[in-house]
Amino acid sequence: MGSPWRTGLNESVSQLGPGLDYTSVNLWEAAVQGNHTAAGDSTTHVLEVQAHASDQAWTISGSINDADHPMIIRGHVAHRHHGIPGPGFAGFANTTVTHAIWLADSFVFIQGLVVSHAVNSAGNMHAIRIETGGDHAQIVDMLIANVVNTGTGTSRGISNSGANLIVVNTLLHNNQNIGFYNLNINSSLLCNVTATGNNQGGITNAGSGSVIAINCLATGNTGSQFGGTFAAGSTENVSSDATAPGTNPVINASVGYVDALNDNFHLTEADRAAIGTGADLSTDPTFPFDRDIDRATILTWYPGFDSINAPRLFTQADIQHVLRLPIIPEVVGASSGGSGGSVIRRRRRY
Amino acid sequence: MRYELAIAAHDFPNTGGWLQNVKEGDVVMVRPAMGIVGTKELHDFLWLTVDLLPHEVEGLMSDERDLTGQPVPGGLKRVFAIPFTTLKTRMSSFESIKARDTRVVYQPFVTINKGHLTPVADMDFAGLVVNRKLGMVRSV
Repeated sequence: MGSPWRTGLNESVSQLGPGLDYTSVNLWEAAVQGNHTAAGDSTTHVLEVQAHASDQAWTISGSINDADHPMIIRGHVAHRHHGIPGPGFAGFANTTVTHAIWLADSFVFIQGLVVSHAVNSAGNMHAIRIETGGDHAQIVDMLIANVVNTGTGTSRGISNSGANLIVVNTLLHNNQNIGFYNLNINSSLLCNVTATGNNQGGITNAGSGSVIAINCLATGNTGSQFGGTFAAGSTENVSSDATAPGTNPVINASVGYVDALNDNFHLTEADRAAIGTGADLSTDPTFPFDRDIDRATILTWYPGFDSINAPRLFTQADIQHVLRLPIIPEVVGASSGGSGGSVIRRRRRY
Repeated sequence: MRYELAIAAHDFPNTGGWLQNVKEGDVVMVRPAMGIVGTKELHDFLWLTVDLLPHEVEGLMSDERDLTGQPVPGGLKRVFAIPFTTLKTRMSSFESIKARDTRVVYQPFVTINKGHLTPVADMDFAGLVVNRKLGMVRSV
């Protein structure tokens, strides 16, 4: 097992960004809305995000999806974040007065985006709001930070009323209210979530449903790090107070992170020593994976979204994005198949 | 503050989903002006620019809700819409038949050049948007 970024069958991929197929998630969503199951058009509709601030306030509702044909919104390979929230990577900063992402469809997967949110409203407007009916959502490798409602309402990082939600490798930081808030009677699974600096709690189950937290790290949140009841199966969680649920909890932990002042919540060696190792989820029966927030293969598991202390391996696309240098194709030799074809390798022009 | 609105240029087919699909005139998207438009966003949507206050934007993309605030299964995907008849009153040369024809790009309210969007003129928001559920013009 590898990446937690799940894919679907028969993917139809569109690109979002300036000069590309779409500049708005909502227009893509309206255009592809339909019955995507095997009984419908049997298509997995995918939108790859290539820009930051490329859209405002998404609403995903009205399609019929299934596990083989989800709707997927994911960061493009050349624009994925590096585990630290901020502009410049795939994602957006919402200022429209509504939820930044509002999901009411089942089987919607959101992967590898940076989301922030600043609104002024009397209503509760969250970064990600999953409605009843928005079942089987997957929130993976997301950085949800700096979520503010300056009105009399409030804003949470993730507010869930859907069933069978899965949140993996995700940062919830400096949300005005609680980082993760479960309202539903059904099940949620949180794996390797880091919740820190949220202003009314870290990870909370306010409903009567089954919330399983594995390898979750909650520190420095105002109020409880973990609130409510967590289900059997919760394990290896860490809190800076005494609330870490499940088996093998580490409580009252002191975690400093690499550079918390600048939103870098990767772990230092001292942090790893303080929190201990986590559960190996590479063969997890529900959601196996073995990559951390930096997409590095996890050798030793730690709580939180960052399990690898080695420098991450940048892809050429990452480097090209950061340096903003052009990549030109170069023919470097004949293929070994002897068919007369050539091997095309990308080379940087300096 | 200038916002960009994209409204549905025609009825989209319903497919039995949890909500209906968008209908002609529905306010599908509203966002602070970015001045860009995608290649697949020109045939099915009409683009407008409107000068709005942030509180006027609130709820413009709402779906149909019940009295408890929950979405209504089978309900409207968008409650608010800009009728073509209203657009005709704002621009007498507006042709609804052209707008509905997905084979052509017809964007009378903006200028499109290589993916960049320039407003012809910002529309006055007053009286522009109707609430489909209530059957009345949205007050600002």
